[in-house]
Amino acid sequence: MKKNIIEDLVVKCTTQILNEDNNGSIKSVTPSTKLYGQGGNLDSLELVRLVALIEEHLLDEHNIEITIASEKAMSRRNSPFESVSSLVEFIVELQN
Amino acid sequence: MSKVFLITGTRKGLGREICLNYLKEGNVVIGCSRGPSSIDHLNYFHYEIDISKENEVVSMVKDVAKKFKRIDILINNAGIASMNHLLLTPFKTVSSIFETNYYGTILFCREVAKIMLKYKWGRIINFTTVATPLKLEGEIAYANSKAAIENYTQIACRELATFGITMNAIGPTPIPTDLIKNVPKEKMTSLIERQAIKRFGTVEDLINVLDFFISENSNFITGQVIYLGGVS
Repeated sequence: MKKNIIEDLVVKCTTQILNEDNNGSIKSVTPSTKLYGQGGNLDSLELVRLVALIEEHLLDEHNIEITIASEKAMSRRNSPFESVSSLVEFIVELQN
Repeated sequence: MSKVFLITGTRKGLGREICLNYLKEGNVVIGCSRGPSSIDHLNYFHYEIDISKENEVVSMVKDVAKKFKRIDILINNAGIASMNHLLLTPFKTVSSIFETNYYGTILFCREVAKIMLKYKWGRIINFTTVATPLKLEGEIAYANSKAAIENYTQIACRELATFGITMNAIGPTPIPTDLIKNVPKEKMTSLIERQAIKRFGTVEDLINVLDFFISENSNFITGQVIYLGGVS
């Protein structure tokens, strides 16, 4: 699956989660949008929902079965959940 | 309204009975076991998996989510037991009991909760045992694995509450099934003597509590452990 498609998906899912919790008044999401951690836009529960939502879309729309919250993700020095772009990179890596 | 159930360990014993009960009520039931299905019903769908294997549980739940779109109720019934003095209990036995009972339960909870959170509604019921509060000698590994499940239930319910998912546990007394078929009669009698109500449990006793946990009205009931027979 191409990186730009994954990026569109992560942006779409992040926008959905942020809008659900901010009554649709959220600013636009870009690859540089911070997700979780210092300066992040998501709290821990929103991150859980985002991960589940992305996994669901990957399976339903692209028939890709991956578990994002893996040991690999949790043991990284640089968290893949830091920003949209870092999460996209991580998903690309998981596919390989 | 019909709901989608996922019940583990449906090939025999209590799991099979629970499964048949919810099928009879018109629900869709997805079941699993290590062996082939023993249930032939239009609304029953079976997976042959080892619930202690993460990849098999993940694949199964993802497949169910894809085909059925939702899972309303998860009943973590599958379990194994072993009776032995602690000095005569091989590590392999302890390991197998924890892998099936504890790991199997938490893997299903994690994967199914991901599906439930989308609908902000879900009911998860885990299985414990009266052997845990009774501190039954000779069942140390089994009782320990169920103690872990009770503690998991009490913590996980807090993490899932915000998603509209409740998680509770039921601890049956001995009910005549495969699980206890090799337990000596004297052992069973002495166990039943320790209950407030001194008789074997029945499938109906169990389903009564399951129905309570599953009920729409039980949305304020979570993190609870109910033992049958007046054990506490």
